[in-house]
Amino acid sequence: MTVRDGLVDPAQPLRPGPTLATVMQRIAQTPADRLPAVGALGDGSPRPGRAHVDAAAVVSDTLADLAPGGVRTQQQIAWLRTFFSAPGGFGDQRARAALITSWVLADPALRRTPVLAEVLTGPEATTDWALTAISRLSTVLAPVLEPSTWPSTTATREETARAVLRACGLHPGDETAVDAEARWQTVSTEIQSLVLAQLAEEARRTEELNRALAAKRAREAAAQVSHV
Amino acid sequence: MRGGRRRGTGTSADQAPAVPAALPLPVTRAPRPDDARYAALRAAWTDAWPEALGAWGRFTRLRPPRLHGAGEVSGATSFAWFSLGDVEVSIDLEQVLHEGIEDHAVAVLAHEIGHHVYSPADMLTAGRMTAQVRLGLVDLDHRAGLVTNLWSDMLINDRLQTRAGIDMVGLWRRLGPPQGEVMSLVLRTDEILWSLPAGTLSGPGPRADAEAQVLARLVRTYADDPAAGAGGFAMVLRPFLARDTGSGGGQTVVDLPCAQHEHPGTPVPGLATASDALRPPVHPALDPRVVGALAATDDSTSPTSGPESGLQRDPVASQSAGSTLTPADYAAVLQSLGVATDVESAAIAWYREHAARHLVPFPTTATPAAPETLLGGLDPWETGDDLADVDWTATMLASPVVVPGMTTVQRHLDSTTSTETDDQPVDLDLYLDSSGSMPDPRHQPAPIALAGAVLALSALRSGARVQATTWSGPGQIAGTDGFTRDATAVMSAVVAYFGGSTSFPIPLLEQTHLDEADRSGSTGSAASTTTAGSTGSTASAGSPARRRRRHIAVISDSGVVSMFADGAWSLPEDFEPLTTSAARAVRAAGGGGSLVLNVAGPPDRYVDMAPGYAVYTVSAWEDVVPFARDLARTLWGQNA
Repeated sequence: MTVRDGLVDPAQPLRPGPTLATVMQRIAQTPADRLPAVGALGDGSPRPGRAHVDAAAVVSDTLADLAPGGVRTQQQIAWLRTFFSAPGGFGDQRARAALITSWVLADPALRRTPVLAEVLTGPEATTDWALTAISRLSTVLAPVLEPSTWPSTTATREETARAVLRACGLHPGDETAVDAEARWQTVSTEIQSLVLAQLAEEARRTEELNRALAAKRAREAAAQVSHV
Repeated sequence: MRGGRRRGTGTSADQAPAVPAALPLPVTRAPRPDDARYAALRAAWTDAWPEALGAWGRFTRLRPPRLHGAGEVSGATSFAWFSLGDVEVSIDLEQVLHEGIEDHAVAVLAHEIGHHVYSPADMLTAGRMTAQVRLGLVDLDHRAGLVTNLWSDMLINDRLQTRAGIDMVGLWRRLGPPQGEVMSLVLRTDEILWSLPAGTLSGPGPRADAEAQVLARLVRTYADDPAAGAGGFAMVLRPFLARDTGSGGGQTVVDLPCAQHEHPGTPVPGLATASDALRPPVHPALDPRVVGALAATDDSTSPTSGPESGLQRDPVASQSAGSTLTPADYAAVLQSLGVATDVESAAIAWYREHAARHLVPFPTTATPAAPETLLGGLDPWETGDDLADVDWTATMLASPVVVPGMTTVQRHLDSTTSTETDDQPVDLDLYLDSSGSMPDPRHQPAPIALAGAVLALSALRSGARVQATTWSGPGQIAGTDGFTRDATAVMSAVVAYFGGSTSFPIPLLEQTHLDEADRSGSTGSAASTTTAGSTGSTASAGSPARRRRRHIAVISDSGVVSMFADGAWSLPEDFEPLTTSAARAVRAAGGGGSLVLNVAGPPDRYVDMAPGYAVYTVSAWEDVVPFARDLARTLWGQNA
């Protein structure tokens, strides 16, 4: 059973990108200033007297590096600020996810991927590509895997790396697309949640049956004893 | 390890045997000289042993493996097996060649070593795992041993592959794709654990990815506590086991894992009282330790929740504690482990282990030790005295001419009382009621039988001898046939069960404690006594053993009335408590008496009819500790 997620465009097949180890290493090297504490960014507005990371500005700078000829429009900045000011703490979560994602996207090893040359045809396409990846990671992966944990363990690094590649329309270059998809099904927190929920429901039903069976066996045993 | 592509011949799930079957011990024969092929293989595998040991740490030590050559083994279900009792690894080189895994010596040997140092590592852990697996399998008891071993295999293989750098993948690849759903699931789990592309080990075909994912999480979660994860593993495997048949309808390679072979009778200390053995297993998909934050799907999406927000309290803490295996379950677990001999032996081990914590100090009587002889002066030896008493040396010194009765002398011997004392224990004469109104101690926990075990083992521990007699209706008597120090014989009587009518063996009581003249002369059940072995010294009232005091104890219920009514069910109208055989016997025994009764309510009625006997009631498990406490207090009062 293959479970779909919101990271990939079903109409576009994944293409080989950098190796998984390359992306995982980049994630492991995430600088500390890209890993603010939970709630530290708030709704994105500056707080007097406290050091503040403006996620929208950082992402915007990354976009400028990725697409040197591009124009940072006021509309783009406004979109990012709106995106990062979602209520209920979601804005903070998205901003922290975007800080890490933009760090990974800025990896030269990723940008040197041959197949991306066909995608990153110009500043506008590159910006769209990067913003799409950032928004997918922020809205699909971050809610199920806390961004601050992305660089912390091998398992979270692998899941994050695969998610970044999928959001970019890629799969690890050292795997086939089929293997990458199968592996993603086993490492994705979201997919695992769905699978475990189904198994849990099945297990509950089985437990009910087992209880009934055990009660029946107990009754039979009691009947045997009473006939001694 | 499993046996690769070969197929077993076990029964199908539908034809499950009633008793869980353990793997029989392989039959080994005298080694034959190796040909060059086997000699080279033996040398290679011997050389691989240190490296295999090194996979488990620099300080791991184990005796070298037993490498069986061509034709030395028959009946082995795999090319490798282990025995926790022998602490030994065995390899069938013939099967190694047959499977073509001669180049994987380190992986195979390290795996078998893992059973000794990691999972199960000892018989108690193996027993706890088996008990949990039985609960998880619900109605597939006969698969308990197999599943237990498979769970250990998964833990060991994952550790070797991921932490010790042993090439388990290569070994599995060499063994070829699995047959049957169980092995497919196991190998798919390994693929997930080891980040292998799907189908690398499990081969082509449909795969149970969801179950494999949850098993992968289970393996990592319980890597440090094999017994706790075994039940959940069994729950996941159960539906696969039920339908695990090959294309031909027979069993699959799941019958042929790396096997555990133990010798019948190997003890499993601690299993009977293991408080976690009956902890209800939790399906891994419902186990917070396994699914972690994924279980709280509603909360996990909350952005303000930290990475630990989904952690839930350990289910173990909320589990009921203190439940232990019943004697029947205990026997079944031993059977699965391959160490059981029979139900009676299992019950004996169960009650001995439970009684150990309740044993009381049995009193002893201090008596002077044997008198010592002192040499005295010389007395005249007169005609008529024993010629052997003449002290010839003294006689010749007194006169070279010997005149009998005149010059002959004999040495006078004095005696003195020893300053040493001997502690004489009070022997125990134990009567156990096994009529139909009593619980069968071999199948269900019987507090009353445990009380009997406490009495008997306490006496044996103090150096006393015990005569244990199990009785029910007329002619239904078994026991030690005299006083003995053989604990097994005594415990056999404690767990014996007739389930018949109730008639106390008065003749045996009289024969044991009363002189011929004091006996009532009644003939009854003793005339047709059936004994379970004659290991003890038959102790009638006049035997030398009579010199030691005895304590008479009776384990019974309301049927104890027959002890005071000459075998009848009710007391006669002219009942006189002091003249009954039981009363006279306890007076003659000199060590007091105890009635341990499985009755509800106050025991006043029995106290009145049994002068000289202390009466205890043990009807529930909670009564055992107060009983042991009161028994100790009373015994010391009676015998101090």
